[in-house]
This record gives sequence, structure tokens and C-alpha cells, in this order.
Amino acid sequence: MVGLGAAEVAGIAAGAELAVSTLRLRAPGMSLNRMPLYIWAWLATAIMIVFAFSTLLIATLLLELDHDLGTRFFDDQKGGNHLLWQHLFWFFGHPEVYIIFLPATGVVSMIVTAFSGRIIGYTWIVVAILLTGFLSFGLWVHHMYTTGLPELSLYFFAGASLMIAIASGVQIFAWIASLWGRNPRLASPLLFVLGFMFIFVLGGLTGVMIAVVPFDLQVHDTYFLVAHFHYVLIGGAVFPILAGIYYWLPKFCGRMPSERLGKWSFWLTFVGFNATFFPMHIMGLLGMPRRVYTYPASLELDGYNLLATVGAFVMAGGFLAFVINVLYTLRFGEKASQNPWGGDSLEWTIPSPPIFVLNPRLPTVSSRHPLWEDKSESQSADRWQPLTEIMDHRPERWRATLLVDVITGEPQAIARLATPSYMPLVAALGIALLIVATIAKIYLFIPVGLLISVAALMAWHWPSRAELELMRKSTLPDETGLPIFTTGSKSLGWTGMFFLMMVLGWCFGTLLYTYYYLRLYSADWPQAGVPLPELLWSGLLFISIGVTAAAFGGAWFAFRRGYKRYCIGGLIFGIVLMATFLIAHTLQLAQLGFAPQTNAYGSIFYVLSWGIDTLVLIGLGLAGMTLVRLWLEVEHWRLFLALNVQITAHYSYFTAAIAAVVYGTLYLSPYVI
Amino acid sequence: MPSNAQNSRVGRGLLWFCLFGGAIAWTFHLMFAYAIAEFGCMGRLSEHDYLGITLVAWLELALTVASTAIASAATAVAYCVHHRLQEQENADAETAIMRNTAWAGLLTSGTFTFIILFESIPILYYLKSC
Repeated sequence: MVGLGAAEVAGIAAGAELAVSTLRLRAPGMSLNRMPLYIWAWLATAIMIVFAFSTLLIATLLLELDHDLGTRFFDDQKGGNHLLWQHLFWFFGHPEVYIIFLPATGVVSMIVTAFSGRIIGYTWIVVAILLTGFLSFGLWVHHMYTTGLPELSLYFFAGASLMIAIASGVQIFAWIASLWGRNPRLASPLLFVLGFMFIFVLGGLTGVMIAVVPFDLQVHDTYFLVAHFHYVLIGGAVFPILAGIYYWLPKFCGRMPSERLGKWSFWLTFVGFNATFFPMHIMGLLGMPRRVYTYPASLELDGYNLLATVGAFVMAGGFLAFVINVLYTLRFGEKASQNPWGGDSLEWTIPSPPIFVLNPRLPTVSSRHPLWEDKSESQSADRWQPLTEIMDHRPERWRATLLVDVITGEPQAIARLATPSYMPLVAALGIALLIVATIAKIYLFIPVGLLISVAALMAWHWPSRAELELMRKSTLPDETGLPIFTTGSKSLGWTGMFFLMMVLGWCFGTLLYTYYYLRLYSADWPQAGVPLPELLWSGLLFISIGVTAAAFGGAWFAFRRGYKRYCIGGLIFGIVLMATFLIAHTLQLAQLGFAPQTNAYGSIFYVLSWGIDTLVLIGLGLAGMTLVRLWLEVEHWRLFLALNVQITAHYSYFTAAIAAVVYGTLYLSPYVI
Repeated sequence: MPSNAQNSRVGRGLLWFCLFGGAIAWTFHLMFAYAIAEFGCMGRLSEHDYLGITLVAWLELALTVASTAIASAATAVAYCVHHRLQEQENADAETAIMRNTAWAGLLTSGTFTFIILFESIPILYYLKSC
């Protein structure tokens, strides 16, 4: 579970990194309405990963606490609720299906565009991606129809589950319309895309069927479900992935795959897949349960099972043909041209295979299909070319790229990027130490590992004095008209911090959901004779977090007006308040008459309290770092440290808002509900 | 008279509202509808009724009206922005981007308005009990 938690943190970081990069580091001129559909799909996926994995991270944490610390979240005997786990898991689990599926639809859109020479309904497809991203979070209960939830609740989720068909249907119709009448060449990538459409439509139809509550009650935990999700996931993800590999293989290795082997691999996979999984619909309807290795002879399912087994071997033959084709291509494939499929997107502008080039010039974009546009008529492409020419091979002694506006794709600033370093490796070793120490229960090494990784990450991102001077003296701002030192939404760091606050906010949202869920299914609250929480002392403690936010806000105000001394004063005051809060809160928790192990109320009370402590601790580190740098920077502090002070202030507002909600929940709500 | 350039300027906040107003309204509708149903049906809210309709159903209906109002507003704003920008002659690149975003907002928020209403149909079947 610790390993899973680490993977979740990595997933969240990757999601945030992908989303921030997509929003802020696009090619100049690539506005939202010119973004390739593959990138749209990945943007939605990245944001979904951030939210879905945050929920799973909290679920894993609670389960780990139940196992190792003896908390009672899922213990029905002590006021917990085993169904809570299902809710938390499926809140991640259902979006996860679309996290797998959406990038595959992006692949399909790119292949359809290349092979048909057009894409009909671009905006509709984007809207469908957005709809899928949102709706996928509202469907988790359809995995829990049989758990005894109130009927009215079930039907809200049944409605949402039926509506997801709109989003999927729109994309399917757009792809069919794009291919219609274009007589495209039936090469391997397109064959797999057509196979995807056929299989996914069938999977989608059975999805609509099981969204209907009475039908789901009949087929729940039968092979009908097994058939459905294989049609959705193999049809919806594996086929597009194979299509994508065939499509981009010439770019990877500079050689074309064998068409004959490609067709063999497609037909074997397609026929084998349907022979394997289609009979499972019938088996499920006849009553064959899933997750059971055998079945009663009286059901007369031998024929269907035999067919499924034969189909599985045929499908394996298809995958084998695919692997042979890839190996053949790498060694013997025909030489590929730069753009063998006639694609419209920027990757086809570089040689096949790509050559390693330091500081390649940034491409500019002036239409949705940059490779198909008539350059002679392109006005706005030229608009950014002088800028990219200036940036060509520059800056020479620090790393930078252009930062663009989220909507218009117009360059807004020059962003510093971290330099190559061994520090990420050190951070990874620190995390490895943390995980091994947790598994081996050598608890002393857990903070050591954490400290190593945090210190390494800070060292990696901490610009050296020499680098800051190079940035300050750079002539790039004069030549390009773009600033290097920026704050707010114009800076990359602020966008990253925004995502961090979203993740933390979502984690607290999940904990609050846990609190109210436990409350709902508990006859008495607080449970088992635990007294109602004390209001005054804790109220004062939580108010101090608000005062801290005011102090940091004041520091940011003073900074903008050039009063360094007042800014430092505000930061010191806030830091002292935060430290006082941590000490006083720890003492207060130590004096409570119950423990996290007492019952589920105690468990959630402590975990939410520790959550607030963690938020304050992060803020303390952030403010401390800002204070030290501000103290040491004598000359150019207004230039170098604006973003740091601003982020410290904004993070403290966020902490105060979360603290207010947590106080309302932990201390006030038991008096009301 | 305002120039074309002035007419084509649309606030960022307004554009984000067009694009995500419906989606956010739907999110709140589903979350709160679920919470009301769970708390109301498990607790004692369903025992209270006014005009023959349970308090749970009244709350669900009120929530639906509020959510639909927000989603409809986003749809209407998106329509107005798109309509205004479409009338621009010789629109520059930024105006075209804004127009496209408003069109996407019109489709997204319109669809979410429909979804909120569709999801709320079951309430009509549970007016007297959970």
C-alpha cells in the first residue's frame, strides 16, 4: 500500500506537470482552438489524474492507517463503515476507466485526421472530451447499485451514467463523418481504428444497458460485466494503442511497418477478441458468475467457454504477429519519409527518426493543421517567427522557454527552467528510503527519507546567485518585449502552486466527505460517549491561522510598495504564529480524552487535525525559505523574490480557508447535526 | 460608436463562465442531490412533508431549479458572446479564439443544462417517499 501511495503521488505530480505544460508551454500561436485533439485528450486526462488519484491517495492512506495505526475508518464494530472504502475506491475507479480511454480517443482523432485529410466537428469533439472528463466523476455509484443505497440516490447516478453516452457518441459520429466519402487507404493504423469503433460501440451499448438500475441488479457480478468492460477497455484502449504504435512507429525508428503483418495482426486480434468476449455476454445473462473459476454443468456453458478459450488463443496470435511486426520494422522495414501518413501535426516536421538537437527552434502555429496550411497565406505565423529566431540557441548559460497565454497561445513571458542535475536522483533515493523504512517499520528513517527528498527538490529548483545575475542582465526582455521575472498567472511557478492547492483542497474534500459519511451512518455523534468538542480554545487556535494569512497578506502588500522591513516583519510574525499554532495544537490533541483508535469519530478527528498541521507545516517551510532569501538579498530583492512572497501569501489564504472549513466540521457541526 | 476591437473584447472570467459554468452547476447538483438524498432518506427529513411532498423532494427540486438557473445562465451568456463576436467584420485572431471558446461554452453548458434536467426526472417519482 505504501508503494501504491508513492505511485499515486507520482501520478498526481505527472498529471499536474502535464496539465501545466499543456496550458503554459505550447508553441507560440497555438491557441486553445488550434490545439491538436490528442493534446486536448491528454489535458483532460491529466486534470482527471490529479483529482482521481488524490482521492485514491486518501483512501490508501486511511486503509494504511487502519492496518498499521489501528484507526477505525472501515471497522463496522467501532463506528466505521466498510462501504466507505467502496465509495472512495470507485470515486477513483470510474474516472480511471476514462483516464485509460481518453488518450486513446486522442490517438484515434489524430489517425482519422491524417487518413481522411480532415476532422469534422473539432469543437464538438473537444466538448465531448470536456463532458467525459466531468461526467466520469459523477458515475461512481453505478458500481454500487447493489449495496443498498437509497433508491433516489441511485437514479441520479443512473441519469449521469446514461448521459456519458452523449459524449462518447459525439466523438464516434465525428470520426465516422470525417472518414465518410474520403476513401482512405486501409493501412494498419486505420484498420485498428475501425476495429476500435466497432468494438467500442458494442461496449458503449452494453454500458448504457448496465447503467439502468434494474438491469444492473440482474447482471451484477456476472460474465456480462466481464464482457462489457473488456469491450470498453480492450476496444477503447488496446486497439487505439496498437493503432497509435503503427502510426508513430515510422517516426520512432525511421522505418515503415510491414502492411501484410499489420493486416494479419489486426484480423487475428479482432476476430480472436470477439470470439473471446462476445460469448461472455450470453454466459452472463445465463447466470455465469464472475471471479469464480468454474461453473455448474447444469448451465450448459461448455460451448461458449470453449469458444472463448479458442478466441483467446487466436487473439494471442494477433498480438504475436504485432510483436513480430515491430521487431521486423526495427531491423528490415522500408525507410520512412518525414511524414509518411500525411499527418497535420508538428511531430511530422522533424526527421524520422528524430535527431538529437540541442535548443531546436520553437515552432510557430497559425492554424489547426500547421502542416497543411499554405505558408504563403499565413500571416500570424510570421508574427511569432522573429521572436523564436531571437530565442534560437538562447539563452546560452541558463535554460529558458516561452510561456504562453492559456487561451490565446500568445507569448507572455520567458520562463526559467531548472538546470540538469543529480538532485532528482537524490530525491528519488530519499523517497525509496521512506518507502523501505515504512515497509520495514523502521519509523526513524521515514522523516529522514522525506527530508532528503524535500531538500534535494529545493536544491534543484533553487537558482544560484550567478544564474540570477545572468537572468537579470539578460538582454532578452529588451529584444523580445517579454519579462523574465513575473508573478501571478503570468508565472509558471504560480500555475504550479495553483495545482498544488487544488490537490491539497481535493484531499481535504475527500476527508470531509469521509467525516460526513461516517456521521451519516452513525447513530450517535461523537461516538461512544466521547464528549462534544470544546469550542473556545480551539476557536482561538484556528483564528490564529487566519491572522497568519493576514500577516502574510500584509507582507505581500508591503513588498509591492517597496517596504522590505515591513515585509520581513509580516513574515516573521506569521512564522511565529504558525509555530505557536503547531505547538499549541499538538498539546491540545495530546489532552483529548480519546485516541485515533477509540472509534471512527476519533480516527477522522485526528486525521483531519493532522491534515491541518501538515498544511501549516508546509506553509512554515515556504515562509521560512522566503524569509531567508529576502533577508540575504540586499540589492535586487524586488526583482528576484516577488513570486516567492506572493506564493507564500496565496498559500496562507488557502490554508486559512481550509482551516475554517475544518473547524466548522470538527468543532461546530457536531452541535448542529 | 465603439470600434470593432472594443466590441470584440470579452472578459476572461466571462469566457471561463461560458465554458465551465454548466459543468460546475452540474457538479454541485449531483453532489448536493446525492448528499440530500443520503442524509434525507437515512435521517428524518423524509418524514416531514409540505403540500403532500416530502422535505427531501422539496430540497431536491429547489437544488435542481438553482443548478439549472446557473447552467442556463452560462448557456445564455455563451450564446450572447458568440452572437456578438460573430457579427464582427474583419475579426482578428484573438476575436476568433474568443468566438470559438464561446461556441464551445454554448455546447458544453447547454448539454449540462439538459443533463441536470434529465437527472432530476426521478425526483418526480419520489415526491412522497424515498
